[in-house]
Amino acid sequence: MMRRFATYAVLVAGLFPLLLPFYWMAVTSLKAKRDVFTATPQWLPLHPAWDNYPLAWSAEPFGRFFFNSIVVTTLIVASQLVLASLAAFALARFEFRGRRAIFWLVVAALIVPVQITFVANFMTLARFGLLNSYLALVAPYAASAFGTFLLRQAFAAVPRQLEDAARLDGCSGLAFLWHVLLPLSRPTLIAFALVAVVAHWNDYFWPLIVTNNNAVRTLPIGLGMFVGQEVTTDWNLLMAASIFVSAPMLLLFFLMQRYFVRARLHTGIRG
Amino acid sequence: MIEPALRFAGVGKSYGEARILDDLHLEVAEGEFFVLLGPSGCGKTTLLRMTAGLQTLDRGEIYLRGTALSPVPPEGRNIAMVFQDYALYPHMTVYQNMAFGLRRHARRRAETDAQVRKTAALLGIGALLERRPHQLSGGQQQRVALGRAIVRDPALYLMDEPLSNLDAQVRATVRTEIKELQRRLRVTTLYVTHDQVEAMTLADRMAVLNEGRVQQIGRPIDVYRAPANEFVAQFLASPKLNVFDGTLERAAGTASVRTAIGTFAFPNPPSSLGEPTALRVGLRPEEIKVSFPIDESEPHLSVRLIEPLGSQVLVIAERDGTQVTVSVAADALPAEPRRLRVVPAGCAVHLFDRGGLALAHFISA
Amino acid sequence: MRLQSDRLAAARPYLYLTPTLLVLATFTYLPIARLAEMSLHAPGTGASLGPWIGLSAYQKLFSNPLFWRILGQTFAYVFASVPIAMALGLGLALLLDQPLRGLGLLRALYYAPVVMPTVAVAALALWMFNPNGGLVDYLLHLVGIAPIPWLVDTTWALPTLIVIAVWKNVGYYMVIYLAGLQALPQAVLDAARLDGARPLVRFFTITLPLLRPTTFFIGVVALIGSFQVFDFVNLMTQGGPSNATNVLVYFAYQNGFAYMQLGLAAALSLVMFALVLAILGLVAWTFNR
Repeated sequence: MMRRFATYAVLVAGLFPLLLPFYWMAVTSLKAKRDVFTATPQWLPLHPAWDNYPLAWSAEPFGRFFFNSIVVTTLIVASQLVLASLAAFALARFEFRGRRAIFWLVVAALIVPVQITFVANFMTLARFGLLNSYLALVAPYAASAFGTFLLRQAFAAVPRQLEDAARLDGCSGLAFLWHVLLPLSRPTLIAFALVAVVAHWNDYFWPLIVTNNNAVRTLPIGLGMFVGQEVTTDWNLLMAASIFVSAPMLLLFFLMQRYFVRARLHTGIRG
Repeated sequence: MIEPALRFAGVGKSYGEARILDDLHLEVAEGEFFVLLGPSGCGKTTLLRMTAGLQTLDRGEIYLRGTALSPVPPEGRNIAMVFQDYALYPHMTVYQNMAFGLRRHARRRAETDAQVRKTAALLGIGALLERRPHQLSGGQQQRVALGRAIVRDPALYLMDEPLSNLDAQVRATVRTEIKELQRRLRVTTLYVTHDQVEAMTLADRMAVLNEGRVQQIGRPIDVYRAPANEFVAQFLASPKLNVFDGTLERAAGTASVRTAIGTFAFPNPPSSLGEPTALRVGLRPEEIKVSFPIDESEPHLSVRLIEPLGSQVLVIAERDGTQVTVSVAADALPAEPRRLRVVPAGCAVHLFDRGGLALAHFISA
Repeated sequence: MRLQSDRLAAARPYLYLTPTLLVLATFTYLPIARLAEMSLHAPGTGASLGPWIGLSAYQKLFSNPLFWRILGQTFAYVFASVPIAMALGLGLALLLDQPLRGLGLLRALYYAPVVMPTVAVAALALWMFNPNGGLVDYLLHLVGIAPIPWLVDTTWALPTLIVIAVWKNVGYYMVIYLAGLQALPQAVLDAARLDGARPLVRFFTITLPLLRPTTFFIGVVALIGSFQVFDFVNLMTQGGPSNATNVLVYFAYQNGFAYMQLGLAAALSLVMFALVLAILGLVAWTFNR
């Protein structure tokens, strides 16, 4: 009884530093400008300024950024799922020369983040005049070493007898991948897709390197520009913008919590 | 000559240096329930997978109703297989599991539906069609696996130890069901197992395999009565074959074999026996006649251990390093027996040469 | 006919792997070679390379005291934020690994910062730690502590970034540790209990050693991840004040894109790569001993 109480007490105390920033972000986003800086902070937005949201939305071309983020994230995740499924299929279910070497080659890519290769990749894209394009944003992430590794593990766990049964049922090759391996690996697929969506929706570094044009900038870049401009002044608008940039991921997370936790259980990469 | 349903003609398979199957010849008649019996690693599963087309053969050919199978891909062979672990698609319902192969073979939806429902009714799994495999018991999963094979209406069933994952109780039930079903459908069946009871109960004919070679082919009862060699005799014995060194002694018109546990007399020694003096004598536990003498002066073995099995009791006895295991009816066993004597008359005796090849089988006089 | 289809079948796995390997080669493997090439040449016009300059970019880099300072700061950031976040994550996981009501919700709440965009976290942190009306200073004032110049003071800036990184990442480590805890063999823990080991003893003699693989995994991921720190620096301090929060990736970014010293940036990137490899090797060696 005492232990249970102590557990709750510590966990709830821990929530304070965790949740206070979220609360403060929400409250600030609803304050009128004159209520932002007060001698004693106002803990409740007495006169909720809902206007802050449309104001913040139009402070930068956020509509365009939103659209770009959706396009880029969708293209990346779709491409990763397709390419990783095919590569993992080969690595998990075929015997061929160089299989081990290729597997390790893929795993090795995990330790070479874009923060190391960005100078070279920037130059390559610049040489082909591809900067400021969806292609530049998507291409480096079109394949995923991590997704390939994850799906390989999932596919390899499917017993051989099932593959035999499927062959006798007239289902082999890509049909086997489609009808048996992918449906059986659904939890892994969903978990990986969610991790990828979060990672690329939130990605700030790479879009910063290859975009300098609002036509292709994504939400994090837009918000980053807003941060640069609005510091020391319109915190209420900045918080409103931060909320609508984060909201899709927070929403996705709370809806698909089960899969997120599973993603971590089986995989563990940072989102 | 009528072409058999299934014919293996000089089939061979090697992995590197290891010969898994060596020049194998077998014929299975139309509608026959044929069992391949052998220890693990004897090549029986390889043979099954080659028949299904899941593995290629290195030498020889397999013919199904006269057609060479090598050029035919697995899905074109009109063969269905029941797997050891059932290999049901976990993400599909029972219905979808059974319909999957039919649909892939481009059958019409209505036809598929009728086939699936008919087969499910036949197997008594009509009520389970919307369940998924993980919601079924082992026995039910086994029935679905059978259903998936039957629904295709193939020319041949292949069954790879389909009972080995079931509890003892369920196993006996499903075994009976498989036998009944095969009798009813009369589809040629090739069944692989390492369990001699399954082989004895299910097979019309069987082949005993060891180290990639056929040891003996025949009706179960014939194989049991007259095993072709020591390996077959050993494999069909439960729990084990008693083997002793023996010496053959001939007299006018009779012959006898002397062993450490007694001397067994031939009623009509065949001339083919020749004159080997040293040979090996095999006696199955259930084929040995014994008595339990009270008198210590009679020659006897000392009882070491008693293992009750229910109606039968295994008695293990020993003398001078010679051990014998016998199976005795429980009600024929005296309380706390100390001494055991082998009674040669009435014992079934199997004689093998030093190489293990069977020389003669007889009931001792 | 047969032969042709056999050859086709043999080519299939390579076919399936090709797109992935092409992308990885173009954007992961080859860039390493390209970086080496760039670091050994003077910058040219546009995308072309200038004349061969040998190792002079590296010489320039290693003779720059700022590089060594930034290297030190990066290490300080990595080796402060990673252990703190891991320890907190493990602590939370231990508390949450109990069959109590409502812990599922708590788990989710602790995880929420992980899915937040770094930009939003940076914006929020700038506001929370703002010297002018920031909430943190106000809360400290309530308990009688004078305002702290969080992000504008050379002493405080880096620790502030570390606090923010811990806040963002702790939920991630928590969830992986939870998975590790739930996979522990319960029988071993029960046995220790029957042996009369107290909870604290049990933790240090049984739980922690059994969690070694999990700790190794988290350690590797966290080290690689925090070595790449860039977003917070770029958004909140631009490496300042007077380079007090400058880190390797940001330094490379500055060299490449602000000072147009691409050769230097490339050399710096390769040095980072070597460091990541060295640290991984070291971690693997420590854990395999």
